[in-house]
Amino acid sequence: MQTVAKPRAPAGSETLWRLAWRRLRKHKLAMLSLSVLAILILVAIFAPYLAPHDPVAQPRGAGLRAMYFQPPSQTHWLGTDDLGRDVFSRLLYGSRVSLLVGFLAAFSSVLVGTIMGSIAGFYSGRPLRFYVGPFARQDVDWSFPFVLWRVLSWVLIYAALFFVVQIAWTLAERPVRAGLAGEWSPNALASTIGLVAAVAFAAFAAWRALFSRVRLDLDIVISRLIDFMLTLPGLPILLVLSAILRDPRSGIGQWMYGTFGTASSVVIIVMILVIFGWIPTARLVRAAFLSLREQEFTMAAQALGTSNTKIMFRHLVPNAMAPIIVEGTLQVGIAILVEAGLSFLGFGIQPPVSTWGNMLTNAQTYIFFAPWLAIPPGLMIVITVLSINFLGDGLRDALDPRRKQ
Amino acid sequence: MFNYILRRLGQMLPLLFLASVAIFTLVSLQPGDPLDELRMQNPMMTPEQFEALRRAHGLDQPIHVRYFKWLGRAVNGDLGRSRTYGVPAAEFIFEQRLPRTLVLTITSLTIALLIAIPVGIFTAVRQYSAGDYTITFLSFVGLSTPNFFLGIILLYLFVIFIPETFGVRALPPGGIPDLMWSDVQVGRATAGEFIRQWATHLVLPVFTLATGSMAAWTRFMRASMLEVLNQDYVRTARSKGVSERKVLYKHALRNGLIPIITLVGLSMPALFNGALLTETVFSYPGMGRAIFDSLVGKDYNVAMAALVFIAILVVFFNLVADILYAVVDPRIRYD
Amino acid sequence: MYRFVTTLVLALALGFAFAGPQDNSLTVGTSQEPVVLGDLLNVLGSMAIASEVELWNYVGLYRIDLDAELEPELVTEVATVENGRLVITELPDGAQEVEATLTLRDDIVWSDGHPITTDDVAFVYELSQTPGMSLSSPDYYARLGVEVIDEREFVVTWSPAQSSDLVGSPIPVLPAHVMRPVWDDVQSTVAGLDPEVDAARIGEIYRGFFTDFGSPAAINEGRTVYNGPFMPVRWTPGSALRLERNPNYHLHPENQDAYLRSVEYRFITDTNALLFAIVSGAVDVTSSVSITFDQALSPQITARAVDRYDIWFVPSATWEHLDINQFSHLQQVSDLMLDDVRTRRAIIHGIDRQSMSEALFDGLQPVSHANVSPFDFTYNPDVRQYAYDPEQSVAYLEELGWSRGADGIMQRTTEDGRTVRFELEFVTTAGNAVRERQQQFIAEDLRQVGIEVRINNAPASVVFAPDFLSRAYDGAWTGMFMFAWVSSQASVLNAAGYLCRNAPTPENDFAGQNLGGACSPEFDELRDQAVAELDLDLAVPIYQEMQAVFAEELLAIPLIFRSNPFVVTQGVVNYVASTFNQGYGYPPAAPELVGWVQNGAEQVFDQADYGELYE
Repeated sequence: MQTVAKPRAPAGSETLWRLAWRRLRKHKLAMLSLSVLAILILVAIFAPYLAPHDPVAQPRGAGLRAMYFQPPSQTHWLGTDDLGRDVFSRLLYGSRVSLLVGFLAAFSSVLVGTIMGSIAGFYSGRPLRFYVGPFARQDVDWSFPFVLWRVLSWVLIYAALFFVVQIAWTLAERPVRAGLAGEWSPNALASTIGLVAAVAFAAFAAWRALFSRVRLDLDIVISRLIDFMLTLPGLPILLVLSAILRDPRSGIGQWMYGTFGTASSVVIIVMILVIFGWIPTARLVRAAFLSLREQEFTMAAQALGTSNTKIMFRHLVPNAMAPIIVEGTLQVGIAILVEAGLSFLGFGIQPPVSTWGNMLTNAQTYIFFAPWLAIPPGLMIVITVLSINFLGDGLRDALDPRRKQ
Repeated sequence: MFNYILRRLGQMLPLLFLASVAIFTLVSLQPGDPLDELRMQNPMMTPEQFEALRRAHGLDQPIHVRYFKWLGRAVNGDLGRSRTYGVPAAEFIFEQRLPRTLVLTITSLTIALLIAIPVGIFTAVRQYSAGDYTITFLSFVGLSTPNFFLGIILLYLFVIFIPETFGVRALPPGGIPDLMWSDVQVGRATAGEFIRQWATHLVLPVFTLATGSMAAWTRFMRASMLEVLNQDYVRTARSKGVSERKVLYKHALRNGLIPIITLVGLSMPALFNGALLTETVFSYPGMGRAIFDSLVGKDYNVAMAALVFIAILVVFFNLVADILYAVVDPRIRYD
Repeated sequence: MYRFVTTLVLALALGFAFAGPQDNSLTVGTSQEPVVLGDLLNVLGSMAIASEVELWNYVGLYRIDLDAELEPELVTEVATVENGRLVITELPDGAQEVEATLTLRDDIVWSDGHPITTDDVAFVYELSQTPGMSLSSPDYYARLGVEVIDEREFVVTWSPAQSSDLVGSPIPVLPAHVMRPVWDDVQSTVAGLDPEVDAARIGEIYRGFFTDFGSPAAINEGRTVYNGPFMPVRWTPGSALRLERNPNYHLHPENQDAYLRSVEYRFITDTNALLFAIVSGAVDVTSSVSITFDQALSPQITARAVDRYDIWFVPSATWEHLDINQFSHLQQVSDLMLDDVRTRRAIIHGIDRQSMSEALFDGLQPVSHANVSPFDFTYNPDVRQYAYDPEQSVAYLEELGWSRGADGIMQRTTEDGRTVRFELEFVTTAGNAVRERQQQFIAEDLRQVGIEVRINNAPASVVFAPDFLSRAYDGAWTGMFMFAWVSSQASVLNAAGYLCRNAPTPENDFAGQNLGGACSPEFDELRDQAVAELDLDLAVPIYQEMQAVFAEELLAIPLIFRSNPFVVTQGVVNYVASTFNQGYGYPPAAPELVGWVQNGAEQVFDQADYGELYE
């Protein structure tokens, strides 16, 4: 409907940020939230110096039972958990992983989303050469990556066609053989027809693939991908993915562990959060690009022969930065909430590493006789996400030139 | 318009096909096998006997063969039986679980909307008033609270703390009552008893579930109304001396509701999705748990029936939302 | 005011509590729900709660009593060598064949009045022998034979026989007169399918056959009949299952009306919610699958117990232990010398199992010293015991060349000149709070003797997958694996775990239960002798010797035996469980004798003989 942002020369952008900062400072809640977040981050960084107890140390000796599930007291400000560990210290350490997951996931989501959205927006309506058959007449483009892709695409398409025939054969083999042996049945007839149709289709496609050329609109590909992702129910799919990635026997599980070691649990969570997290940013950036690319400065850059990549990431992305930052902020909150949910269902980060999510899960087991275990991690999640949401709201106002204070 | 709908319907099919392939693949890729536990419990089983068992569960075949077998039966309307429950998957999903989930989700959706719309209008009209700030703050809190945390706290409050401190009757700690509408029909219970029992069981999960959407929609309604109220035609109406009430309800509300309609349309599939976390906290046997259990237990037929059904709903309601959008907003035309 | 409030709460709670005796009903709280009832061949998988509920509505040929002794139920007497009903013959290959001649009582009928005959036995046998039927214990039915002599008499044959065959009911009984017509239809459907291509379809149809008689819908429609003291009449999935007295049951006591008229299972999947249901009096007793151990000891339950309900802890044969990877071709295993018994002794001496049992379980889940429950008749109390002794543990490690590094963790230099730290992987099921708590306790103890534990948990579906669990050989897990074996007496007698040849290796296609590859040839030899010895009196000393070897060699590290908590409202009698009652220890011992003292039910069994009361 309206233009998203006015184009600005890069030199002038500094004043834009300064202006935004001045506006943000007037937003009291946002500033309060910013300080709360700053404190939380400092606490997370300096947790080892702030924590009164070792977060993993368990008491030993006589009378152990009395040391478990202590209600808050002077020595243990937030009580002790099911193994006598200090809840306050665990909470401080827990903030490290929770915040790390939140920021890392948000950053990666926004990064992926920006790239996908940029491509979709920029190339919308400008289909790229995607497939050129081995015998197709073609424009001369002997650049190495494209030649490589050409050959690869032949392999892929013929492999796919072979696969189609193979599936058809696997499904139809038995009834068709029976049919040939003289035992005719409707099933045998249907199978034979299906098999013949599949083979005919594959043969026709293989013939066409020799000569045809296909151009592909990346916008359509990415938009359909988003449509497709949105048909999948998020949380259950994330759980399944988490189980697959963590499976120590699968190739990917081994690779994860080999590459990231004990940090793999964090990396897995971040990857999973990115799988659906990039979508909002991508839609947003795409919309912004659709209008930005029609503007004079883009045209000018193109006329000067600037490469597409450079136009996209040097000129367009900075101009779409404001909504991206707001979205990024909100994503941090979402990531923290989803991580907590995954942990609650037992698919998050595993003990002994404490996160707010898994502390809450653990506390839920004992909620009826040790309610004090559940409140601190739960409140920390609420406070953090609340601050992030307020900050996001403030940023939206501050960065949006249409809003007047 | 007609062509547009046709084209969209045409796009649905490949999308659904891909979604079903993806779901089937994901379920199969999961580590573990539903028969593992059996094998663990019975060490005396020989490898041949175990192989026979795998064959009887169809686990010996490659995944694409199994997928196409499933597809072949599914397009003929046969969704197979649940491996865990033995009952037909369609019966399990559509007769057992879906009605229960709908009771939960539709109630909370209705409540959320009934509260969010007027409150959103109120905050927009009284922008920057104390009421606006309070409600804005509360809705932010609602948005920032994990709903399972809210559920746990509510359980503690209404099942343990309040009943014990004030001696009032506790709310049921979860589950569903052993009283179906059929009992009322055959006269085993009164309608009042039926409603009372279901209401006491539903109040906590419904509240938990409604909080999040209530908060989001209040914010959304406010923003949408503010945008409309600042538009030229509203200002013109006002300057022509049209009463404030009329401006609000006749001119602004109609346009202000459009985004909400889209939002509600898009959240319809979630009604059928169930609410996994809330259902888990309240031991509510709904779709969310059914999907979760079927995925974890590799109950292909149930998982496929439920997830493909939901994918169809998502695509369908996207279309409906777009069409409604065009009906409500005369500025939008599709061709 | 406060006192008034408490009285009110109590009164409310008591109001609930007295609902039971008023209409002579019993409400059982459980955290699991069966998927079907009557799947007695476990075609849909075996589920503890289903077996427990089925105790009320299905009876077998024999009944296993609280002391794990066999008693006749549908038959006139238990087959023994003494009464001549059991005949053992030597097979040419050295194995043995056992023939049991059994006679059905003549006063037994199904709940519809139709007599129970050998046809019902033959029908189940026919089902069990159907190719493509997904039995959960195909090995057993492959060895089983049934031959009907007349309407009352039949012969069961096991060939080759194992001693475990003689400790349970030979074959379940299902109503042929109700089920056979449907079975004939099923078979004609299956006849039109190709057993090669449509194996999955056939399996599904067979499983569906059982569902169609045992699903909630089937039960509500009354599609089948029962032979137990009770019969299910109404099942609301996700909520409750109600059973009512079966008037045609043959063992009802004379004064039937003093005992239960109906039983209701309440399914409350969240154990916290179940805990509250107990506190509020909404359930009278708990099933074996209900609140966790921690919850049973929580002040919420114990503080309200006085004068209202008893909390019993019944020892179960569920054995928590650590399997240790002993495949020495693996670098990690040989570095840590896990295949050396001294290393395993260092580990066990470094774990304060007694303190763990006391701190975490109030001492109610006893420390185990070998793999057999103290309540099993083959139990050997005199095996080598390893007390908590960190010095001894360190001494063992030092003997093996380890010394503490700067960080307090043991390290040593290997023959090829590498320096290795004692970093031990520790795997268990994620999401099992009780187990994870023990795991963290153990990790802390081991850290103090210089062993660093690296926890690598995953959900049960992952760690119990054979390509993880059974692949210690390939290094899927390289250190310790904590889980439990649930055993009935039959599986104890099988003693198939921890045999050298049962280590999953490429040679046996990774089959076998000896997951860590522990190996003691002496143990294997004793086991083969014991299994072949069908005279249990002679077999017991051999089984005991096996436990001694097990403890000496530490084939695995024994931790504790679990106990099942049961909450039983005061006034309920004969709702009693024991370690091996009905095979796996589920309550009740005799369903027809459960009742309320207020209504005149007489106590026959005392839970105090089989469990410990929380006081």
